[in-house]
Amino acid sequence: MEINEVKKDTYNLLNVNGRLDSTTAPEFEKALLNSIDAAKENLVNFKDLKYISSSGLRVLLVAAKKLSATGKKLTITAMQDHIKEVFDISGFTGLFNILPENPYEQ
Amino acid sequence: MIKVEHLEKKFGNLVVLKDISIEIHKGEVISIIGPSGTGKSTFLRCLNLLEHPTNGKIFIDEIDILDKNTDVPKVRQKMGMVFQSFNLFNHLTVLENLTIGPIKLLGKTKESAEEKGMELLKLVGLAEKADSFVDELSGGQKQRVAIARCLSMDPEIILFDEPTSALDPTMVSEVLAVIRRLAREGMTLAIVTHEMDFARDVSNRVLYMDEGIIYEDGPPEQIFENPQREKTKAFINRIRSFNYHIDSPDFDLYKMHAEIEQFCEKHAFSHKMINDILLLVEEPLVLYKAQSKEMNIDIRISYSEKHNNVEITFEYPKKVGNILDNAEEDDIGVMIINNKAESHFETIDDKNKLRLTLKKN
Repeated sequence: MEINEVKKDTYNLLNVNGRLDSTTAPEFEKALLNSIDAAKENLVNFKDLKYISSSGLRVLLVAAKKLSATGKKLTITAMQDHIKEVFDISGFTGLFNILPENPYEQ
Repeated sequence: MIKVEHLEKKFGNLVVLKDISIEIHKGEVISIIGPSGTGKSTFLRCLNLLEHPTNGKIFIDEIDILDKNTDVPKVRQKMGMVFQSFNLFNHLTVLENLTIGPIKLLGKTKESAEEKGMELLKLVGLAEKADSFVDELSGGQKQRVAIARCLSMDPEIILFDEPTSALDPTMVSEVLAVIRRLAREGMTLAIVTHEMDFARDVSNRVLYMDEGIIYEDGPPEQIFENPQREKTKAFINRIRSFNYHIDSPDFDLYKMHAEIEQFCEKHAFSHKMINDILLLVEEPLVLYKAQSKEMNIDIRISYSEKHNNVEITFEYPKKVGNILDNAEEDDIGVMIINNKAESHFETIDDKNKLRLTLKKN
């Protein structure tokens, strides 16, 4: 997995490329929580995410808890269908603001 | 009629038949099936001593054919053999192929041998080819002549060694039809074949050979509908499988996933199916890791071409329990597993077995 972080004045964007599984989840957790600490508005772009397992979803759950405590915002964008399906199965679709595309992409 | 005891056949250091014991009774139609190279043809060839067994005993009508005092050619006359490659005499006519044996070995007159020969050619539907030379016949016709030639020696049993393997697919049915007819008429037959549908309808007993032994022996309903043993199931259901062993909590997930993907791609699974299989392997392992410090798991992914389904089994020590039941019901991993698969758990001896069958969408 590769995470590319784009820092802007108004938001932080994490482009996640590859696989989010039990091996890579800790790295993703570190990057996501740091991002949330740093910015009010956070975007995770899953356009190039190939695979997600429950380990990746658990990181998002930890992030969601942190967000609700601080009033910050997390948007997940551009998920492929099979990734979206895993979100639906686990009831995660309602927990986040999910957009079909990254609104800041040029 | 035929009794085989602890038959063993080696070619140099290669053990082809390990330990075969079987009785074949009069009137039985036996199909011998199994993967290539498991000794099916060698077994048949040992019965009439085309191959000399390394060890064991073979009795034909209670005569020990491996006894040095036995008149082998005489005993052999009781057994006809039909080969994959016909083995006819190309320089003789069809009818001469049928009469040479009875005249030279059984002492029949030319007239009576020809009369019987014509009768047999009618039986296999080739009376009009009596005066043709073998080279003028198609593969299917040659094989029917070979069957008629066998019958001309009045055998008590016919051994068929892959009788349709060398034939053009369009000619298979004419040969199978003749064999079916012999079976209906009560002839004792032992047929090594890869024609599964044929084996299922024609025989009243099926031997599944694997690893140089008769691995499973039963009526066709058992072998084809409800095989009892693992390898028979895999063969009948055309199961392709992938095995992986994990013996440490720090196992290499990437290496395992890469190998699974390779297996899935080889069988042209869809992208979604591959994703589901990867999840159904990873999620139970995450649950397992949370419940046990040690990891000792055998994972098997089996794909049945016949039923077009995928099963993933996890076999692990009994002390760990049912990893699905032991997890929280709202665990994300459990939700994913239950959504994508039907699960079945059982304990056999000191092992637990969790089987996940991928749901079809």
